[in-house]
Amino acid sequence: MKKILIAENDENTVLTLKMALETEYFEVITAFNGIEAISMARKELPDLIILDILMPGINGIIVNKRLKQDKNTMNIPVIVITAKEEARELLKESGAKIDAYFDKPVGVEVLLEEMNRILG
Amino acid sequence: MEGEKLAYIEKKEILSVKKKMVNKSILIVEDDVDARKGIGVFLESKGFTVHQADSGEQAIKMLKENMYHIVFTDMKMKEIDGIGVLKEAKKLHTRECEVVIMTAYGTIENAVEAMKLGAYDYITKPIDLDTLNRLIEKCLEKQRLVEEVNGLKEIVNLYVMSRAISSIMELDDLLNLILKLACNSVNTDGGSIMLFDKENKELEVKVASGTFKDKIIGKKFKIGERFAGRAASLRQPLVQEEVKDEQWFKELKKFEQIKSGMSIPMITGDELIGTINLKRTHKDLKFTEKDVKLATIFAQQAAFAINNAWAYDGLKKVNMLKSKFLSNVCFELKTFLMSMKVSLDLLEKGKAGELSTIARELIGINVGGVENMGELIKRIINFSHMEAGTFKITRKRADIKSVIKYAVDKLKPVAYKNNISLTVSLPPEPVEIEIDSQRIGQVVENLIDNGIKYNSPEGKVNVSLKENKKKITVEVSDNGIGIPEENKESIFEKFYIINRSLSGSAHEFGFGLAIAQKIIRLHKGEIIMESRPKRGSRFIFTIPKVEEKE
Repeated sequence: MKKILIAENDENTVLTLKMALETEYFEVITAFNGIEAISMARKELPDLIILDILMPGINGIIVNKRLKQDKNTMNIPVIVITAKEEARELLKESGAKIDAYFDKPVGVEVLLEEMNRILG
Repeated sequence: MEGEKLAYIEKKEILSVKKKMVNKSILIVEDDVDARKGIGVFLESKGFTVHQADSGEQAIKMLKENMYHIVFTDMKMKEIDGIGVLKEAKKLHTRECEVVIMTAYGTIENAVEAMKLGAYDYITKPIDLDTLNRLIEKCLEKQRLVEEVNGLKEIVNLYVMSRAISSIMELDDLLNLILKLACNSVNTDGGSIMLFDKENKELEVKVASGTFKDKIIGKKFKIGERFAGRAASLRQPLVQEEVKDEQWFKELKKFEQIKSGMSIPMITGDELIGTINLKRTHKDLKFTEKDVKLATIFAQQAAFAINNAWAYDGLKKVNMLKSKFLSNVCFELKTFLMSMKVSLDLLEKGKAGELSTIARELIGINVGGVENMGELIKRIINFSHMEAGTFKITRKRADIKSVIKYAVDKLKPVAYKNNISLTVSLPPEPVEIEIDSQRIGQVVENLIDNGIKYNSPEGKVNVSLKENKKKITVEVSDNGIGIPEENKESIFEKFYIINRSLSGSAHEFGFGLAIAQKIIRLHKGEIIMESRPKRGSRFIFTIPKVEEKE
């Protein structure tokens, strides 16, 4: 079973996404802020991370950058889902790669399709 | 300030300068006493103010102290000769003063040399009074004409300057331009502009030119304090010449060379905007009444322009707040929509258990609602970017044919639902052009969407693409309700919605065409609309192909 980390501070989004992924037989772990997201990723080494950008403390852009600098987590694919307009530009400027980008709201089907493509 | 001696010329004094100017003055430089006095008596009898100098040295001293319209100088004198006087006169008063050389018959070559150096004419000795009289008349006539032409030039300059400053809205750019133009117009070495801070009743130096500008910018003065403050409180122009024991002048001289200064208050209505302060560093170049007049007219124009820039600035700030607010609201809405969309997806797919037919139907309505709301939020965001001037496009080489195809495919279900036939005619080959594919796709979608919405059942919408060497042309036409003549002008305005009872659709907020127009314009293209009520509309946009450079 593939392990997915959802890093997102909106509780309802986490709750519904978790449900959606669990019905597709993924194992889901969650983090509600940037610091938690980094430590969780290092400890649990998930197969894929769904990352929000605007989170309390450390934002998603920095989370992604830190994960990409760490050789243990650098190869974990990251899908960004955000409501923040400028995120795409800011991510580009940060220089750290991501695997997919979705503007909120994104439907379950589209997301699953992308996840399956990335996870192979 | 009490006890502070300020030597300023008030209006009355300026007027008295003018009177003196009307009375033309002539300087005679001649070492032969009899000849000098003879000419002097003759010219005085003609009504001129006559000064006499018996040597080149004395002449130069007098030139430094007084203004002359004409200088008659002997050629041959001890120490400083006629050429020396000529050079000095031209150096001190370039425009106003003409020099006539008096020379003996045998030394005409000298006179020719003098003419080359800028002398107006020469007259041979012994001097014939009739010739002298004609020469003076001719010379004064020339001066009058030159002055007239200069006056005209100044008016034209003023006009050009006023136009230039009224077209600038950014305050800093505007102030810099005002200062530059003010310095040029009255020929000064530098100056500054102070703006009035109503709350603190202070003038603050906003821009300055000259060596010490960095030390001056940001300095604040109370109204009534010092020179500019004094001009501001009196609300009239002040002219100041160097007074050695004035404290403020001493302080000013620490910063820069200054011999005379002029401070012009800028006023609109009865509100003080600030002051324009100009200086000259050459003690022989004093500000004339004409300078003050010119600067005053200019200051008036400047005051209006600054006032406008302030108003514009205020509007911009309010607009920024609005955009920020919209952006925050949109962020929250999108976050909220995310969980709603996922929930509905799960429900719809039966992941939360089997659904009754009614439940399925209700969920279907909500799925559509979330979809529409998402689109609307996107439009609001685009629109607020447009308003804030942060709406950007990134052009990349792309096949516009596939962009159009994608948009058409996306809207086919909507057309089907509305019973509209959506057709497309595209050239067989890919059409490569530098565009922002996402934005252009958005424009095409918007136009097709309008074509479908403002149509009647069994209507048609056709999308076509044409290409030539210079541009591509996309046309979206329908045979729908059309747009009434009186509405044609306003369809590209924001918030414009075609009469809702006609469209029968409620989720149109009138951003679409305004955004479409902006996007096409950012591509340096054009979008136009042709329409006949009940016959349909055609929206046509063109995008020029970017020329390959280098």
